[in-house]
Amino acid sequence: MLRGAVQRFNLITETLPVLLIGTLLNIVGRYLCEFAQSHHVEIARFLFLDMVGTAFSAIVLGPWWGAIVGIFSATINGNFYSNFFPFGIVNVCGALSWGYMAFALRIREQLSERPASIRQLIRSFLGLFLVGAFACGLASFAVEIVLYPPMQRPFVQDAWYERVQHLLRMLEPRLSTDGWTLFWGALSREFVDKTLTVFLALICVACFDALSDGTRPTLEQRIRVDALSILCFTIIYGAYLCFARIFRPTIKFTGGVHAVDWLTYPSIIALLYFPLILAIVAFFFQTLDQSDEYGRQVESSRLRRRALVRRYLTRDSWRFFGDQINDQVTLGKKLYGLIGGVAAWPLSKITGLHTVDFGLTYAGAALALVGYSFYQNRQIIESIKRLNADALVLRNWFDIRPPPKATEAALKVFARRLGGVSSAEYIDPSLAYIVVELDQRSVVISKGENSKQPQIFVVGLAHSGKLMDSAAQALISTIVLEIRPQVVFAICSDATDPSLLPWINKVWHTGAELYLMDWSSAERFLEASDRPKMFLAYLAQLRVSTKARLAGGTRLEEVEQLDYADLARRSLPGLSHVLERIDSDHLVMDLGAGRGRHTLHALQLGFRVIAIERKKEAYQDLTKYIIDSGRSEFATALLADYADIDLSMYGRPALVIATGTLQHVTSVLELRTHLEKLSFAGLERYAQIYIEMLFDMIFDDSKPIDGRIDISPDEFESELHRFFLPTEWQIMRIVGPIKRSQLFCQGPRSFYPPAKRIDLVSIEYLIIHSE
Amino acid sequence: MHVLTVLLSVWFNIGADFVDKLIARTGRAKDFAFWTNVIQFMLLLPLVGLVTPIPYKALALCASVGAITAYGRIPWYHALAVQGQGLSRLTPFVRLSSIFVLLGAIFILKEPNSPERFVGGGLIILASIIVLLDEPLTTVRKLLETNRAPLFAIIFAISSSAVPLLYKYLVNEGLNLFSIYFYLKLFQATFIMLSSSHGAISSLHMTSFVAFKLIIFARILQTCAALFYLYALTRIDLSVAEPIAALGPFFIIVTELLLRWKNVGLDKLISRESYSSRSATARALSVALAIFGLLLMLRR
Repeated sequence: MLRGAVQRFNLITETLPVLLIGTLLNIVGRYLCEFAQSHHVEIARFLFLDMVGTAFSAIVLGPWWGAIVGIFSATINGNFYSNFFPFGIVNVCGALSWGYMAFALRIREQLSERPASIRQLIRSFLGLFLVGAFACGLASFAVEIVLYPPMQRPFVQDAWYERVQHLLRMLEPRLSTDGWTLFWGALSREFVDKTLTVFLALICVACFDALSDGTRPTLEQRIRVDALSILCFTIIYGAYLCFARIFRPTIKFTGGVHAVDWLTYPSIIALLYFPLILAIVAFFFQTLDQSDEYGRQVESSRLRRRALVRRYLTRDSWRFFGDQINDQVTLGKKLYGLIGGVAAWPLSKITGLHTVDFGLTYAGAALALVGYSFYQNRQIIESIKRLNADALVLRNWFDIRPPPKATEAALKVFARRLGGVSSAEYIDPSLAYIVVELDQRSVVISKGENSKQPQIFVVGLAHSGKLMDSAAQALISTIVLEIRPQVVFAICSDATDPSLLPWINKVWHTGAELYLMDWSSAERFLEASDRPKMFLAYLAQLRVSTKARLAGGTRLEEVEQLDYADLARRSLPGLSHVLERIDSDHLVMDLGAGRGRHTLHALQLGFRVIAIERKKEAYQDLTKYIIDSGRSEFATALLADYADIDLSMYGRPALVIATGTLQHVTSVLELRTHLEKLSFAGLERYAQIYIEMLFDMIFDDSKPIDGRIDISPDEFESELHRFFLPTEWQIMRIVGPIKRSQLFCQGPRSFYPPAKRIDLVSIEYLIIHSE
Repeated sequence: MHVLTVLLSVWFNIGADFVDKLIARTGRAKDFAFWTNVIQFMLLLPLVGLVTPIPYKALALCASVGAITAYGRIPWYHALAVQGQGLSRLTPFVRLSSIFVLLGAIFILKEPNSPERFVGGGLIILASIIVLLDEPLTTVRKLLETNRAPLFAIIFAISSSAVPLLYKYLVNEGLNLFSIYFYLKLFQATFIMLSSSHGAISSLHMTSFVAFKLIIFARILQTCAALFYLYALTRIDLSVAEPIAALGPFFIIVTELLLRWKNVGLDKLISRESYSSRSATARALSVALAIFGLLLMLRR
């Protein structure tokens, strides 16, 4: 069982953009403030504005990521402003106080994950402002009181502190000593600065969209942090100290008599150890790990978000120039724009380009880049949320007991995704359909090749048991003849049924392109319809595969000696679709793995797999193929009946595969035992269970004699409902029932057959742990 | 008071060794070596202001020794991970480093030698041989199988013996000891990061997180031990401090006996079978010889 560290956010897609934006905000804020001070803008004398990005990152990502931004920008700014380095500690203290406060008050959830209200903004502002101003004031005071005496700088020197001392003399003379004045002076300056800092940071947070974590933690759980952030902080902090030693070993503040080797003073060393001690304490007592339920929830939520973003971002074959530019500048894998933005500032100093004109141009460009990143981020997050919502509607339609109006909702989703003008929904007992006329405004056509002619698309949902029965076929044939659509999408659960091929062929000959789509194909439709070019590429792919199918070329060749790759190619298409949409850091459990077609496919995709097989012959093949695949270190193969072992010993899988296993049970009681086992195996948040159940099996024209259960699909689905309650689970029939006839004259394929010819009815179910 | 500080530093080091032993089997030796080197360096960083630049030749030496010692930790974790090998069985082999230091001092640094030092070295070698023979000798293969951990410990001892030689050589050149120490740690961390950071960072998700916490705890103990020892040396002579520090192996065997008596950590810290009367006698004799040998070598 895994008990490793847990990351709260994904490094590349969620953390890095925020860190870079935060650093840019800090650099630009500090520069603009310095610029205003040099031009004698009165208010700028009391401001620093070098912590807007720190506050923003701390609120969005948490205390230690905020501290990283703080210390990283202090490292950069330390080389620009003579007395900046020692105040890196202030940045760290501010980040920690804001980060913990923001987590405690769930500010990210309220402002970034959903639309922010004014009330929440005010509440957040007050909390963050008070805690940040106190923390930064105290840290600033600590640095000053330690460093002023060695450089013989008076505690009370400039106008601000003199005013504070004057005020203290009037209010409470005992507190007007130089030491107290320094304390109150530092605190009051931070109060002024942090008012604006926190305000600007909260505006940024409210403009920054984020995907929801979906967990409901207690206060104690909320303020737990990930070990990676602490680790990264210590590394960046180390770099900061090294830079300070190399570039600013001596420092002299304005008003000081002489420069000091500040890093050699024991009191400063103690101060420098302070963030490290806090990091160690946080690491020991506050980190998330997989040994508790909340840690596992956070981890599975993160991996799910990663899968969602990857699903959106990394379709290499469907990527287009404009999309790549957008992703690489602001989000996604490369972040060239943001990295370049941060790097340009110190490079300008090194190359001597650093002039006032450059500074102002840089500040403008950096703010524009930040704004563009926010815009891009919003586009992506909204697309992901929309896709999620639409995919849920589709899942509801495929549910074995769909909610009322599921058909209408699904039709509306498809019509909206296609764009253009759509008709009302026609609901016939055999088929529900909608007609969509695509024009220049529609998503698909507006940037496509045949842009001049309006096109008519029909989307139909097989209404009678989700099967394309003869009535539905007849209705589609009539629609094709009467409306003359260019394309018909027919969504049903028996799309791959070979008996439908003659009818499909007939429709194609009338001039309309008919595409039968099962759940996986329909979900790919939703994914692709987000961008016109992507949709056209999807359509082209669909056209090629349908034509190949009509020509009889999609069957896998029968080969005498299967290698591991051949076997992996035999995995069920629906299951492949599911696997490709789960993050490969997850665990997959293949129960009744047979010779390992699904295990091998999962291994090829990078998953860790637990494969369990009870038959020795198949198990030997399974282990051989796993070794051949070269990924045996990621697989655990067990020779056992999964019903007899405690599956929780092997971890919590995100996908449990039970294909072709449940038909072996000999009684309803045994079936129930197995289903209970499966429901326990799928306890992980968002876990999915993929079942392929075989009914009405005939071996060489006779009924099986091994005592296997004779159960109808309806009875089986009732049993599924008994163990997978609708409040917690969603059960979909995604493929079937499809009648098949399989010939095994050439010997075993993905399993060892009990006969040379097997006739059967197969149904594939996907059971999802509800969100 | 300062003698107590030295004793405390010895106990901190022993504590760190026991923690390392406890976790050694829960992950990969390479990852543990990575975290050990990196964390030790991180803990030193706030002291960076005390570091002074050193000549390139000295830097190159620090880099070479850093590389050797960084990777030398990997076999040490392998040794700790071997089941049934208590720390007390490995200690005499780790102490072999004193012999390598002695040889280095004589042949590389050209330091004068004395008969006592050679006798001391001989006693340590004898101590190691006695431990090797704590199991009845049947075949050479069996001997090698049962003594895999000591072999790893010897590799560790060879690598770690380079450190005192480096200190001695560079201090003789007039360089600051803390700076040498810092650069050594810097290069150790750099080399191990260059070679195994990816695997080690991914191991964060795979290795038991408790083990990871314990590694950091052990490094804090070790760093505290080093600081206490350095502090004690500012007040008392090395000739007083070193013999106290040499009692470490004796404390280890006492700790193991206590653990066995209390029935604690039998599977992870010491093996159930490892304290037969033959092996206990061999181990006690070996530790006594190693300590005596060490004291002879340290005698001025």
